[in-house]
Amino acid sequence: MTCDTDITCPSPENYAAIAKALHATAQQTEDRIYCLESLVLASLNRPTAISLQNADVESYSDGLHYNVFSSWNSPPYVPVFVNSPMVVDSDFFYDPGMYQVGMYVSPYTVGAANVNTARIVGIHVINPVTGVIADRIESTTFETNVANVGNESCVEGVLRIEAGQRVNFTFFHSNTSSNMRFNAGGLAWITKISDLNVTRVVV
Amino acid sequence: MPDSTPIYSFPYPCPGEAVTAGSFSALANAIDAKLNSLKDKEFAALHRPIVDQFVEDFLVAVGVETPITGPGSSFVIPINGIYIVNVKCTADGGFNPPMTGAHVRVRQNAVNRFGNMIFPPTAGNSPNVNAVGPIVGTTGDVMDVTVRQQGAAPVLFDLLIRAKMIVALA
Repeated sequence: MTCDTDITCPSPENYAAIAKALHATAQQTEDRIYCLESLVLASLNRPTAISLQNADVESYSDGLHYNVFSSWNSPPYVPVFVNSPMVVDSDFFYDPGMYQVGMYVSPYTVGAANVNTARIVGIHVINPVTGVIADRIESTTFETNVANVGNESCVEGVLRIEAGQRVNFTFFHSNTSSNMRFNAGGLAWITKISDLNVTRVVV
Repeated sequence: MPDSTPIYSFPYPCPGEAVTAGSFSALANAIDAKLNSLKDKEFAALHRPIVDQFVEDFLVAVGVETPITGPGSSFVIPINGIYIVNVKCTADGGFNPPMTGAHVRVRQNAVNRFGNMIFPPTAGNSPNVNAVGPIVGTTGDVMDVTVRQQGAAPVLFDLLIRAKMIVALA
């Protein structure tokens, strides 16, 4: 986006209508400054969305990849913060760009915990037609089977999202003796860092 | 009676009204004031609040959710905004004595917001447990960190806290 910063100066034939010329100057100036202010505010505030899981989530079986935070606006997921133009749910196509993304969940076993079994939280960029994963970040933690220790799983990174791609927030575990649930308080978040193509100014 | 523009209220004389030097100065001053406020917003865009703090050798007892205290262990949200907070907790000197689990939690006004855990090896290196997450911050909110470890003896931790504002809120 660029802003026109030219202001028209009164010319000799305008001198008899100075009031009208001043009105035009005031209005032109307002238009120019409004454009500049929009650019500044856009650079101050990244497009950002945060979703909160505000209730416990039902059981997840071992050995399967689940798509969690599939809809950021349906219970138990509620939007904590969204600024235009970000809207996030399973049908949303993000503007192409580089994004910093992250997820936090608090998984626990419904029944017996198998020590040293894996929990994997991931964020995948996928082609919704082919299902191919174009970009991903994942974090693996392991069950400690120690009371009150190790109910946190967190992943964060930078992903490239191109036109038509979606983002899935995923969870996987290998605790064979029991399903797992999430404590309330989980978070998913995404914030745009830059467009994919940035004009480089060489001085 | 002078009128004004719809967004920023820049004043201008109406048709038939006497145009004086005051008409020019009123418009010029109004534009000047708006450009100064725009300069403030530009400055805020280029100088977002950032936190970078380090705490060394904090002792965490076995089996106790321990808030880390002392200089650099917490910070106060300076202005309303969305912040990305990144904490890295390192077991100083390796897992000797061995630990069977550790986690770190980031709190906002003593309420847990997010965290991460590790199930470390029984000997050797100094693994990190890192946690990154968003905070919707209000001026004056206190951010701090708790650590819990389960092992044979107290362990010394180092803590690095980094935070940056990504969205300014009213």
